[in-house]
Amino acid sequence: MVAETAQVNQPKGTDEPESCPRSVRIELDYILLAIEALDYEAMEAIVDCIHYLQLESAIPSRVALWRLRNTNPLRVTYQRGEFTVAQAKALVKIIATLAQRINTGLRLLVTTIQQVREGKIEALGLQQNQEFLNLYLDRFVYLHKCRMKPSPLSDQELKSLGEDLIVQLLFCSGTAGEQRLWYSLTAGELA
Amino acid sequence: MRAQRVYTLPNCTLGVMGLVNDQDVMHILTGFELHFFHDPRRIKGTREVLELLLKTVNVYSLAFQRGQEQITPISDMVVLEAENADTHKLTVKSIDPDAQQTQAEPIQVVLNTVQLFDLMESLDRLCTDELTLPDLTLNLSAPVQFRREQSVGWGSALAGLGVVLVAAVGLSFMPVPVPERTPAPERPVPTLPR
Repeated sequence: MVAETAQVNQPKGTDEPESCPRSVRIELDYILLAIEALDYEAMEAIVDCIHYLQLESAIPSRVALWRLRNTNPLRVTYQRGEFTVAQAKALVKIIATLAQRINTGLRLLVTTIQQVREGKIEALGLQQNQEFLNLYLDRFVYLHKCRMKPSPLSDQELKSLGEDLIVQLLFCSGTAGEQRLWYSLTAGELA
Repeated sequence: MRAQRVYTLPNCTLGVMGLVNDQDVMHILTGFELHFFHDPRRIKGTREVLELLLKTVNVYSLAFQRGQEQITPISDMVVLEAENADTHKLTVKSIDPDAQQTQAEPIQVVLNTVQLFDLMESLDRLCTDELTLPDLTLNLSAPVQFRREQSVGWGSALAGLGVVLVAAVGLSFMPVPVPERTPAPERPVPTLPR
């Protein structure tokens, strides 16, 4: 973990690939969108995390973060821009740290997703959990429609995507969440 | 000196038993015990089974995170497979470390996604614990074969289109039997008078 931090804080090395693959840029932006759907104020937490984890060399400011997120080609405000591996690793570190903080909420949401699919919510009397899940999913769909280009996905498919992202967030909220998220994004193809 | 280290999570407990040296570092494992709170049975085993469990859970959870399905079980001693979108079936041929004998019936536990996360997390904590089996580290670089990829954007749709195009090209080269011609009726079919 220390080595990873050092690598993130270092200036871009000559042996590191210049830019991150398109899929990594899309996936990271989507995960951040899911965090924002959980809490509209999450952007402040993300910016705080940059300073807390001392990642200013990779992401110097809020505007730099906004520019990075706009390199997602599915965004309405898509802009060509640099998105280095070091910057992607910094975002992975921020996501893993935030996910760790909201681990309890993520557990509740993943359990509720399963209970809804199995139709057990009424029997268990956990309607308030379903309301919590619905609030997140509605916000995710709303944010997706505001920020992304018109998508062929229906509202239900977008909700299903929102559920998948919650599971992804749960799996990066553990002790080795950062490594797991990075490996799952790149399948080990990037160092 | 014999010692036991326990990693407890909301859904499971992983205990490792072994011998510790003067610096309190456990280098030798005598056995491990895994207990899920929703199932009364306990999964026991030697270091060999623990390493297989570690590898299997890592490969499976990474495939699950990527929305893919893992196709190559690493060993028949430890098998983790998807039952449906939310449940996963863990089958372990449990070995009692004291008797060194494989139990006749493998233990099968059905886990939901949060329970799978807890199993993965207990193993991650063991791997990152410098005082317990320091040679056991988190290794995510094992080559993995996947199938059934689900992509976030329109990638899957484009991939599907590619498959259809390839299939169409393939079909165009396949000999198609020519249907026999039926003779046209000599007289027009009479219609109802107006």
